[in-house]
Amino acid sequence: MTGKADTASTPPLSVLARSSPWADRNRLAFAAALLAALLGVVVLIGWLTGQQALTSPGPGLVAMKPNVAISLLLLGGALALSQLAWLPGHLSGIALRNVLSLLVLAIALATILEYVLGQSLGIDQAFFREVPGVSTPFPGRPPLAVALALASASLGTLLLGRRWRGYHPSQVLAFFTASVGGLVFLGYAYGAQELVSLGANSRTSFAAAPGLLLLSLAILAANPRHGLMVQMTDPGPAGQVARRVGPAALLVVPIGALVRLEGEKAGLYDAQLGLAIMTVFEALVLLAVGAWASSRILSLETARAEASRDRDRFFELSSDLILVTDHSGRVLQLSASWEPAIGRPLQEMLGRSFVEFVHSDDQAETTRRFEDDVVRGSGVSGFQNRYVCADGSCRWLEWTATADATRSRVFAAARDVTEQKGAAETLREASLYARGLIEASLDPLVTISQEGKVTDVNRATEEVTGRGRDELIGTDFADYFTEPQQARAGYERVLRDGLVRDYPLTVRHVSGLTTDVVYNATVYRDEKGELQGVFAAARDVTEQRRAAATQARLATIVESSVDGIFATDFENRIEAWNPACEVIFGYSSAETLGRPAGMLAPEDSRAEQSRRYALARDGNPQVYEAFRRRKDGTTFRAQLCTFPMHSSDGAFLGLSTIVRDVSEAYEARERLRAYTDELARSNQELDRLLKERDEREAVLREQAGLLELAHDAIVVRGFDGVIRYWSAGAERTYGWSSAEATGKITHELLATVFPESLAALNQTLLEAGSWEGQLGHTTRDGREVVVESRQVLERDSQGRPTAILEINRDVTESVSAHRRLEESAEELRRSNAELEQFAYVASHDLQEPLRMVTGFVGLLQRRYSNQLDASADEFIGFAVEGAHRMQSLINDLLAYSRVGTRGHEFEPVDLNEVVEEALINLRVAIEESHARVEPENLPTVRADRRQMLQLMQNLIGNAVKFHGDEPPEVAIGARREPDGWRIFVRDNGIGMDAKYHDQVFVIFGRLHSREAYPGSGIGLAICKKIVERHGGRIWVESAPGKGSTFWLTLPDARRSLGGHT
Amino acid sequence: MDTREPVEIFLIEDNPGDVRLTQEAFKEGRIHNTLTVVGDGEAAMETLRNRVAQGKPKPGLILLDLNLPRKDGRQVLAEIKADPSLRLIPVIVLTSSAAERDVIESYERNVNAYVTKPIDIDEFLAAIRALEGFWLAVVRLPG
Repeated sequence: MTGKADTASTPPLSVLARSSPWADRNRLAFAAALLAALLGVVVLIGWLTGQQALTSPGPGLVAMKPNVAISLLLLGGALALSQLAWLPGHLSGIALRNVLSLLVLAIALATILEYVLGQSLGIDQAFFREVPGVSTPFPGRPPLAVALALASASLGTLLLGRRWRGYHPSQVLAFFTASVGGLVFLGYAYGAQELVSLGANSRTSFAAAPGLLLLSLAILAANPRHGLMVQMTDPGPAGQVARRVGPAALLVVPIGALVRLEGEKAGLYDAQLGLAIMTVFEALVLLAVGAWASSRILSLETARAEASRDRDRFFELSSDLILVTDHSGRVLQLSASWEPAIGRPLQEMLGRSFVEFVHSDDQAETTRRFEDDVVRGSGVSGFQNRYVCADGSCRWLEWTATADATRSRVFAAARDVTEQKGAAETLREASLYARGLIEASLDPLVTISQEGKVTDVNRATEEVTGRGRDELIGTDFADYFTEPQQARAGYERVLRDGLVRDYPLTVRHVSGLTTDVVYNATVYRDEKGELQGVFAAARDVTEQRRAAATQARLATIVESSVDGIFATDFENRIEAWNPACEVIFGYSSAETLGRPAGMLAPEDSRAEQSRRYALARDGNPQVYEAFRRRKDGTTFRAQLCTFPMHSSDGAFLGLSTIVRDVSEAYEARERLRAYTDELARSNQELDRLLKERDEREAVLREQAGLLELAHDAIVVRGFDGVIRYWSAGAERTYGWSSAEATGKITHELLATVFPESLAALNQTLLEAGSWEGQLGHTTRDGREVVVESRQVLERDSQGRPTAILEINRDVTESVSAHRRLEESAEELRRSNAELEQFAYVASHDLQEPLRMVTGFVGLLQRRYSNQLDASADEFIGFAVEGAHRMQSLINDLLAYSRVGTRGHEFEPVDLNEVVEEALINLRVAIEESHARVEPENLPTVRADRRQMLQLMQNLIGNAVKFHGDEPPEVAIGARREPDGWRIFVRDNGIGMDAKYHDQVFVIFGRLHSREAYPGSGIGLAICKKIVERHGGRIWVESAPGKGSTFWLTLPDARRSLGGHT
Repeated sequence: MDTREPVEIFLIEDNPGDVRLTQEAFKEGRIHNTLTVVGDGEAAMETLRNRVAQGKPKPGLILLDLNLPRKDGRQVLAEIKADPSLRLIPVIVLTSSAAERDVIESYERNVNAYVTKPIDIDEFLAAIRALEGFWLAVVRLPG
């Protein structure tokens, strides 16, 4: 067992290197290189400042050439810099080193070339100029040996780390450089001028020797893993010998030689004695050094033997299973713990491949790991495999192994982890099971670190985000929600409160789709209770939300439905009642809920309702029309749609019913049917009318010609008054021809005088559709005419006014006639009034003189008759009679005038009473003539009572008076007419010829002598006037000897003609 | 023939014909009377008031025509009936007017009787006799 094997169970190299006194070769190389460079700097400063003390160490000594100093500086600097780790990139340090080395090599080779060619290339004084002297045949040119040493050193630097056929060229070159330096040093030390100049005619400066030695040391130390330095740094016996014997040999031999030489020079002894002393001294020193090295080796060996025993003991006592094999896996050594561990004697395993004892299932993997990772790689740690015990059972071993490449050894240590493995396996299985559950979960699950990064997800999370597990882990969890702020707020709440429940969020799928979720999340901690992160479980509530939204939408539909919707339970009791039901039935939901649905149907519909209920319950949705009853007891025709409701497990829950009041719709339908029938009839009628129209069109065409024949002026004008049609009648009326009038403005052409403004007329036309009235027009020849105008608005099929049809009738003549009539009527009224006034005044004023005449003639007759002669008596008789007649005439005239002026108010008058009174007044005349008067039942009329009496008295009096030989028979009667009463007084008297029928009603008109029939002849005139005042008419039907019938009419609506009433 | 003091009848009438006819009618009457005729309303009132002022006997009966010069018969009637010393004398309107208006107006002014003069002389005489018999024989007037 070597020393290296002792500690081989762990990677050894860096540990060994760190424990060596030469461990930090970088530092040694750096220091040597830096010193060489400093030496160059010092010499160069001397050259720059011209100070001899710096260029040469003592008087008479040769100064170091500038090129040598530059080379020391460059090469030392290069080696020092390449050791500095802080240079930007190690490679660039090496590159810089190579460039500087090449520069130095170039200088050295140029110098050598100068020696070979025997001529200057200008390199010697390229930087500094040296004053030529005796010892300097080529000023500034270093000696050949120095140039060669520098070339060797620079080449060695360049080739640092390179191998060539098992050798390291840089070391050989470094040795050469060191040899030159050493010879120069000894030359100065022993005073050997040959050595100082080294066969050349120029001398080497003293300072060049340490410079070259330092460079050599730097090159050697820079490569500690190879060549000399390996031995020098070896901690074992080799290193002990090398580090002790080497320096001793290097120091003792030259120093011994120097002492002998100086002694001989000083004459202390001769050459033989000197040689003997020197040999003894050197032998003793070397012996002492060798003994020191041996004792050192001995103590090392003792320690090693103890370590070996410890190791063996360790092998025996270690509970770990330790194994040493060669590179093929053959067991070289194994700890005693193996025997109890796998129940096999150690001897059984020694010398055999360890793989043989590995469980066959693990052999392939074990072999692979051994060869790939242990032998050729950096080792394995934590590798587990199963070993087959002697009893056939298996033990789980966990391995740590490493190989010693140089010595074909593999060191391995194992622990029996069967128990842990069992636990771990259980744990792993449990973990796998849990993982399976997690992966199987339909809910997206995620763990989040304290920093808010996703640490694990399950498949559901991958699906809901559309991203792979690898993609998700390590990213900010909040990025996968539509509202990251809200997500983070929820996360912070979990950290604060320990958990959240039903936290709503929306996950964003990579495709842009979103999923509504609610999260339940808790913090989770490790076994020490340290907060590790958050475990969050989401539940996809998109469907729930959708369902809830659908539910809400449905509820809204039900609530806002115009149709009544109600539900009944399995006993047909009302369970739900929407607002439309309240409107339709008048019941509030409070009045209906829980009550039987029978309340909604009138008595005679309940059986039908029950039948429908049963049908719907049995799975037959019912759509039907029936009468339903409102709260106020009225019924209406309802359209009902009833269908059963079932729970999710199929149990019958009740009925849902949609109800619509279709009374109006029903009526509308009935009306529609009626309309349809009517329409069919109308169509037939229309067909008939169309036929008729065809016939009529022919007629119309004729009528169009007739229009031209019409006397009336027929004008069609636009609303703007522009004439479009001008009939022949218009031509005749106005004198303008159709060609002249068409296109003119009507009222301008005819200088129309309107009774109202044209605008008002048009407005009337628009509103009423027609207008009638009189217009003043001026004809072409300047004559003013008055027309009775009838205007009609024409509209098109859309009802827009299109034209005005104007039919004007020339009424100029009738208007003037009417005016004349009115004038004469007025004249008549005036003259009537004057006549009445005259009659009144005359009768009054005539009374006085008349009374004088009658009075005194009467006195004459009374006192002087028979006292004068017979003639006087006769004269007085005539005077008295004339006076009496005069008085009678005046009275009649007065009565006649009073009919108009002294009338009374009209009042209901019973003509039966009037006739009765008249008969009383006429009693004497009736009795004298033995007349028979037989009135029928007469009506009551509205009239002037006194005038009625006078009328009847006059007529009856006349009937009694004008009789022949027969006693008078008078009939009085009345006949109802549409507008009043017709009354007659009929007699059997003398009658009259038709030519007198009008004359009898004229005042003072008489047909008979006063002697035959006394009277003033004013009675019928008064009758006529009375009847006319009552709005009626009087006439007589009579013939001589046939009697007379006087007729008179009394209209119901009577208007007095003049006078006051 | 009655032996009592003749009764004075005051006739206010402007028409001499009527005055004469009235005088003639009273001549044929049976009651002894004296007829005093005054031609206009003004003079009639003056005479009556003088009589009262002088304490002379007042007429027993006044016959008044309505149409009088200077002071209308209606006015005369109103003044007589408004005078406490004259109002007890019976006043009879004797006129040719048969107008209803005149009749009503007269009675409203408290006339004692309204008589339209009949045109027929016989009727006129009969009317006067009736007045005489009624007012001078039948009626008891305040003394």
